[in-house]
Amino acid sequence: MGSRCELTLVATTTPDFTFLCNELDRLESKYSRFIETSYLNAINSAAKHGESIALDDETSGLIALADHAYNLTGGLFDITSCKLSKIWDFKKAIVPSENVIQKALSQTGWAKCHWASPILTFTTPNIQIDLGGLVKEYAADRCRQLAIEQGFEAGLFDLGGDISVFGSPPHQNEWRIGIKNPMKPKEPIATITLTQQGLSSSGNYERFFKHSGQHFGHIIHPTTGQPVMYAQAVSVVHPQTVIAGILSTSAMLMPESEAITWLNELGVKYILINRSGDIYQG
Amino acid sequence: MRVQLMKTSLKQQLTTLSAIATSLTALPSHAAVPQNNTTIEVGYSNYIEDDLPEEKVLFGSTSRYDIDVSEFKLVAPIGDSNQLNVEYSVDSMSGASPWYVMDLGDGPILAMSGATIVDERKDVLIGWTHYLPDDTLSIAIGNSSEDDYKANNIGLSWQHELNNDNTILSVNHAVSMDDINASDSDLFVTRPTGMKKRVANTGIGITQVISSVATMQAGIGYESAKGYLSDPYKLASVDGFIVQENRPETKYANILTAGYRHYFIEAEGALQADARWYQDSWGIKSSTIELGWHQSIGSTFSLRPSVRYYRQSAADFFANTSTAGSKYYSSDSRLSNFKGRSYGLVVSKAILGFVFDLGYEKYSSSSDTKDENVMPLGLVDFSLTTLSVKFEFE
Repeated sequence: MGSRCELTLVATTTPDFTFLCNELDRLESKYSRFIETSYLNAINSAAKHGESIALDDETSGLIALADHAYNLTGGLFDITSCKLSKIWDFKKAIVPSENVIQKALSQTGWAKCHWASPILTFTTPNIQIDLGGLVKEYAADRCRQLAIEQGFEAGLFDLGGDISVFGSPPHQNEWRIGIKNPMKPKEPIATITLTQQGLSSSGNYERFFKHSGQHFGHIIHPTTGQPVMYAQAVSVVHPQTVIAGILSTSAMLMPESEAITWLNELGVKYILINRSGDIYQG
Repeated sequence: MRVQLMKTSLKQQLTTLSAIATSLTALPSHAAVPQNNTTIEVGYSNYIEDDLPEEKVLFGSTSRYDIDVSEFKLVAPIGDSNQLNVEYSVDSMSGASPWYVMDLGDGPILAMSGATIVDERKDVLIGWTHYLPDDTLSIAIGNSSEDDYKANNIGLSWQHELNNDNTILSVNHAVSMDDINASDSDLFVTRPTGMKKRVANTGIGITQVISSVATMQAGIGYESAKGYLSDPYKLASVDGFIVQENRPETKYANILTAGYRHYFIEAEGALQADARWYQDSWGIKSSTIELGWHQSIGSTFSLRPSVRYYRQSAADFFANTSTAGSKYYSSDSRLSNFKGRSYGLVVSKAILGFVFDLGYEKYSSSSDTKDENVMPLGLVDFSLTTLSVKFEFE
């Protein structure tokens, strides 16, 4: 999953985590952009030439989610925007030229794909799909589902900060999750309690660089190709971690006040930390 | 911003999103990891030529060809970098065909064959494609067989991607070796048997991404045909005698193609424009322009209307009646000066993993030629109806 994963199961005897590890391996080998033989790369090879491809049930479900998320967020949640992230080199602190940005934008945009489940058609060649914004959260949900099916009473699955829980820890009524303080990432700035829910957090404080006196964060706007520096961090709670992930990622792409209004209208539980360190909760 | 416009239905959309996520997460845990999918397509099409007007026909049937085509296609990935293609079709043909043109003093008039032509053609094509990181290599071998005509063909192609995959170069070469043994040659002694024909095509092409929503293609091709290039069933009137038609035994052709695709984001539709120019050593020059529009309606339905315009000049030796001094002679309307138009519509619908295509095309042709001796009498108008269903499985 490209990040630290912590799996917790509450059981009377030492549990066997193999079934969860197998599921995580399965999802990684299927949806990783970095595994040449992944199913995702097979989809992207069809995308190269602007072809159509029929997807299996699971991927169709993920694409249907992405399609609805694109509409829900007015195009902010876009699984085709990976080329934009690639052109910004945060390690070398290089700002790409306007030509490079325009070219990447020309190969970005879910509207350039036609989705008629289970057929995905790339109407423009060289679009690339990245399900990285969905799969980690989906994997957390899958772990919870499988653990429930296996008869476990409670568990917590933390896949690089995307957390799914069910039941409650021993001698407590709910899971208590600390939200990182962007100023002091080792210290929690707030605590969120979860029962059968998911929590996803997006932040813009861990990866950024300064160039000509300007800060560039790692979150790139899918329609301008430019980094955005609105909120420092957004955490969203939702029964499905995959939905929480869609909402937290998208809220990071909105100006602070707009994000707060949007999350309030959605009626979800959230914590937004602005650039001054002020905390907004809903 | 769309976010603002959609506020009223935000919660409703979130509910929909949640429902999708819930059903997705509950998929069986043994869901397979399909690395490759196999596609199967079966199709049926019906081609019907319009009847000829009686005043154009001296004798024979005014009804023309009616052809039913059944097709099967299989595309199966083999391992990570290979793909197998198999295509099989059966054409069942019946009807009548223009036989020759004669002039009894009132101007040229068409003699048709009787409505007794019944034939079946079986066509099989097996292709293999190998994918490399920036290159694609393909080979295809085919065989076509009917009572009086057998053809074996082989095609090779190479495709190379460069310029960050924004440019694709392609080269292809194909050869067909045909054997011709006309039916009923014992009854019609002029009908040839044991004749051979060899046709070779070579082409190069380029596809270029020119913007985020547009691509263009261009190609140049060369075709050479040698051997028996006449139609074994066509006769010609030479100085009033009805003899077997006689076309040159070689033909060389140059072909240029161009294409443009543009996706209109707001309309969620794509324009397809194609053009083709052709010129051969028989004197035929032709041009084709085709425009199509691919319109998505909802997530499972699409319409593809199209229009095509074609025009060609006549072969140097085309004439309804020829004189004895002519080296070559044919009154086959397909070699005449004419223009054709067609209008088509394909309706596509995806249902439960199957994709159904229903298509209809209407073609008509005409000629502006005033000279009676080169005015084609047997031009064809036809309608084509197609139905296919495609599905994929692991």
